[in-house]
Amino acid sequence: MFPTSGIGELFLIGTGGFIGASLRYTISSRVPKIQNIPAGTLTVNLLGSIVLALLTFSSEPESVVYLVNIGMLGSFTTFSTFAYETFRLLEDGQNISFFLNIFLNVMLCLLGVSIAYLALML
Amino acid sequence: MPSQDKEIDKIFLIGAGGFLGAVCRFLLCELVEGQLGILSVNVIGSFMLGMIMYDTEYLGFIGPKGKIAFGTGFMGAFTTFSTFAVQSFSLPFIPALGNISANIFLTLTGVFFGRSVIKALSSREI
Repeated sequence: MFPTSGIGELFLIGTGGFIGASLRYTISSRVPKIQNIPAGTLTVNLLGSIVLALLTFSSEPESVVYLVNIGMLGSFTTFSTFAYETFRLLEDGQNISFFLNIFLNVMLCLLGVSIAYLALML
Repeated sequence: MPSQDKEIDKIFLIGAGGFLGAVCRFLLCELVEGQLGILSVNVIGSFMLGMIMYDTEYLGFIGPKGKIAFGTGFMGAFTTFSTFAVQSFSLPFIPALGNISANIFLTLTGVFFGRSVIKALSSREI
């Protein structure tokens, strides 16, 4: 159906990136900060990690991998905004929020991935 | 409603940036495989986002539209958390810990360097 390498694959990834990035903005801009923690970024990172884990640990056609896994979910979640927001907390002297934000992003996303993995194994 | 039109414009700019960001992430990860690929896009993207965000504070070279297209769209899509999380989960404990520490430490350092570049440029402009 789709070429699995070259321009077709890049187009699928780009289209997924368009959808993922717009969705990220739409969702994360609606979630307010909770106790200085940028909860919008945390929300998209957690949701995206869970869905990516569900797709990764189950089998699926290759075209879906490019469009959804790499394109959409890759762009839906973000590390740069997380790093920037976390750095800002440190810069503003919000030391507890700084560590809490790192802890929450890493732990909740890994927990989400583990739950998705276990759910598929059952 | 003009405010809704503006929101659509914003989303389109972010989407266009996201298109390019995702494609660039894929291409770079083809060159640098595995966890190092994701680590390099995350570090480069955080450095660039740091420059973009601090530019709006100190230099003002990039306008609000550029910030949203290149920052939220491109850099947001270029870097990724979901693949980082799934990869870290799939690694044995010690390498996973190394991967997590490297991503956190180096991306924060990236933002710091982005900020430093902009601050150095802004102090030279007087």
